[in-house]
Amino acid sequence: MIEFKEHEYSNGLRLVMSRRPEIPNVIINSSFYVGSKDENPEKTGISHLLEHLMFSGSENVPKGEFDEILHDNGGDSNAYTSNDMTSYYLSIPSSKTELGMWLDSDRLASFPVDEESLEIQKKVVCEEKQQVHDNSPYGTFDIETAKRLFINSGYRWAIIGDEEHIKSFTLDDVRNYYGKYYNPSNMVLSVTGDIDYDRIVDLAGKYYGTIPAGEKKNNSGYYEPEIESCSEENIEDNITLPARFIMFRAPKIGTREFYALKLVSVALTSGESSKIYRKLIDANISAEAYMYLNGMEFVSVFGFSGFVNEGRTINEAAAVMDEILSELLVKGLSENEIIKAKNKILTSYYLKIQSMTRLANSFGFNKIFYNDCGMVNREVENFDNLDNDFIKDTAGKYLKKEKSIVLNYVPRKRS
Amino acid sequence: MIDRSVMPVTGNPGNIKFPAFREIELENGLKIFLIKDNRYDLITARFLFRSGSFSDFFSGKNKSGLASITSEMLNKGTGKHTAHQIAELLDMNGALTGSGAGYDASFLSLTCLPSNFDSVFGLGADMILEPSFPEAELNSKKNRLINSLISMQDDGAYLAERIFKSVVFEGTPYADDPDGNIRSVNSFGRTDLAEFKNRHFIPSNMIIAVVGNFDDEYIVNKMNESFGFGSEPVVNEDYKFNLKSNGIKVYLKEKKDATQASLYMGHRGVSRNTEDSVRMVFMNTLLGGSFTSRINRNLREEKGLTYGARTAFNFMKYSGDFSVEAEINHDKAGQAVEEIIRELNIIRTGIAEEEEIQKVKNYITGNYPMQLETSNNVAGKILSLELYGVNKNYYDNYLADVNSVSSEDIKKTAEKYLFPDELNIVAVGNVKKLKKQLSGLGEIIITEEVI
Repeated sequence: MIEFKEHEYSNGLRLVMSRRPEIPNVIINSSFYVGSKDENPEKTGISHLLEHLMFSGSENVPKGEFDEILHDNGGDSNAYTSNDMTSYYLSIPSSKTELGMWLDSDRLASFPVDEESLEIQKKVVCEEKQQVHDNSPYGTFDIETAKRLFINSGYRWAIIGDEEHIKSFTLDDVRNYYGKYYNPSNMVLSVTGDIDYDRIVDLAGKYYGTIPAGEKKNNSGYYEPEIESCSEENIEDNITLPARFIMFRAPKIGTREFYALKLVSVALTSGESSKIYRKLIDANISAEAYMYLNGMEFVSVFGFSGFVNEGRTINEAAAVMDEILSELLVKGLSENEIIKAKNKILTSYYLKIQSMTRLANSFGFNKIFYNDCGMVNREVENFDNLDNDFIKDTAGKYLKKEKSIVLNYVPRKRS
Repeated sequence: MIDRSVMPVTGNPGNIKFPAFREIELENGLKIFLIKDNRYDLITARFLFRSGSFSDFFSGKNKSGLASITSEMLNKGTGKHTAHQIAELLDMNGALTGSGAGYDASFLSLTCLPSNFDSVFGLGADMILEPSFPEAELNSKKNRLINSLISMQDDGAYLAERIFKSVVFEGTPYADDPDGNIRSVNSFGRTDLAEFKNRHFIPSNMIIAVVGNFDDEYIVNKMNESFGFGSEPVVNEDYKFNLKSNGIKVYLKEKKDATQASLYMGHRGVSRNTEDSVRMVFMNTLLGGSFTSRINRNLREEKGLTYGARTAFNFMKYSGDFSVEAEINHDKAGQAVEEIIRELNIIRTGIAEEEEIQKVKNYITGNYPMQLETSNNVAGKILSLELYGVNKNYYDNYLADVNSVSSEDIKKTAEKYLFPDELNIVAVGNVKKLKKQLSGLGEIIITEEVI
């Protein structure tokens, strides 16, 4: 059992803590209930650009000094933006917890970003987009998938955003976005590591509890028309080997159906006795092939990816991938597959919970979306009561061919 | 209201000791490291062999990737089980496994619940002692590896690193990718693997680390039963590395439709057991090894030229290298290289301010405990000390050594290990643009094929 404690302040700030005294460091994670899907469709990428700018200084932390001060005190930091939330985390020696909170909270108390920082980070983000997406093999996958799998909600654009939008952002754009979402009632603070619970409650009260509440973002709602028929498209990329990506919409995390499909993805992918390994990799059709389930606030993405070996064709891979899916819809999983998947999930869980950085992140995520930090202790038992009838029904409901979006990545034709 | 204008005064970081571990030597000389951790109900056994792709060089002509494929084939059939049976048993036990090879070592690792350790370990021992390398399985594995190698050729950063290693270590055992190349992998037969295994995957060449929730005596007995026998000593593979000296060279490789250039530059360095190791790591942290290092601050935070630039000393057993890498807009490649060379010159000739040195000390000291958070990380560090022949008290003295580095040490270390006039500058992307950007630095060589 992972022990944790919670506290709520009058300005709406929610605090979650878990004591791990083995090493003398703490993780301070500030997670905000805003991500790329909350953006204006004409101003995509602002959540992620703002994440970069949050390191550019605040009223009492001079420009460019956030990481300098942190490193000078034995700390380190990072952040990420997802479709639904934006998370900032820093690690610091526990004797300097107060300094870490001072640093992190000052950018919540004030945001004096200037033109120069904005212009530099716009360039950095454009280089990031090149490095991670445009100039990376199969790297445009996120962008191409989002706009086909979703047509109405903010999930239809990728987190990185549109390059033209990024280049056009003004100081007012980022200040307004910050002002709207970066406030104590719209965040969860998670502190893990070598801590004393009472002291953290006091310190967080002092540094975060004194910031004006602001407004909690409303649940933005989610509507997408059903996918009625399978769509399949070819995307040319600078690649040698083709790849086939099949995607479906699936239920959100926390539902029984989510865990059933998670179990499916583990059962069919994990280990060399898995069906995907035997039928695609061992059979020399793919060097890499896997299923995954990515959970988001309102919906998940169930994916099945197969990279095609030299001398084989997308059609050969497609036939096997379709066969694996249709067998799943007819038979579900075998008893053996279910046992193996549950055993893998248990082993992986024990490895995963060893990191207090990941734990702090899980608390932020679970508190924001489910108001339930205890979920970290149920990650294994969620899979206990799933029988094959339910697994089969769930697969049948969500993974039918007509509900799929298929992208075939093919080598660019050269003249 | 609180006064935010005053930075809180906080105490010094608490002390941390490198976690306790037991080192046991069996009668045949095999070393086993036991790292107990009862917090989680898991056991990981890591088997390390002191032979990686360095040994491929001594296994015959064009045997690159042999250590790697041999270790990856260990679970593909033994005297007792077929590949399919092994996979089925490991998966049924919820085991997580891994195997592969780097430059100086090959490994097999097994992770499972203590209640399943008996059967998982039994399979693991079988895989190491009696692998059968079935023909059909080998062909399938070769096919997979070759396709991975083909796919890697689409990645500019990979190509840049590969060209860099192949020119910096040209003609030496470190020139090739530990995973080999398409030609070499294609040529392997069962006997190549069997011979490599017989020569290298034996108790006299092995180091074991066991991590997690176990009883010491039980583990030692298990290891003794399986690996306690005597084996031939491994033939010493010796290679003399000389420092190359040939001025700045620029290697360009065309990558069709690249929208960014992959830059990888540097030169040869030294082996892991150098007595300057702490000073080198320190100097590198200040130069380009962290987010607030000089080179990242300059290229990213001040000029917005890249998403990130990093420098590193890559230590191997008999040699090493120093590298700087970044993905850069084609039109800014010249400026980026110029700035990097400028920083290398500054650190060699200037004296770093005390404040900057203290920052690096605090950064390394404060973050060091995070490296000890998991026992698997701790095991990795212990295995690495043993493999590279570094004194076991390295980490006992680590923080004291870090905190004794002076500005004079930084300058001396930079002078001794950084050679801005001997750089191999590799850039992959649009050659026409890069030629223009990188002219005047030194001889330009166009690389056609990368293996």
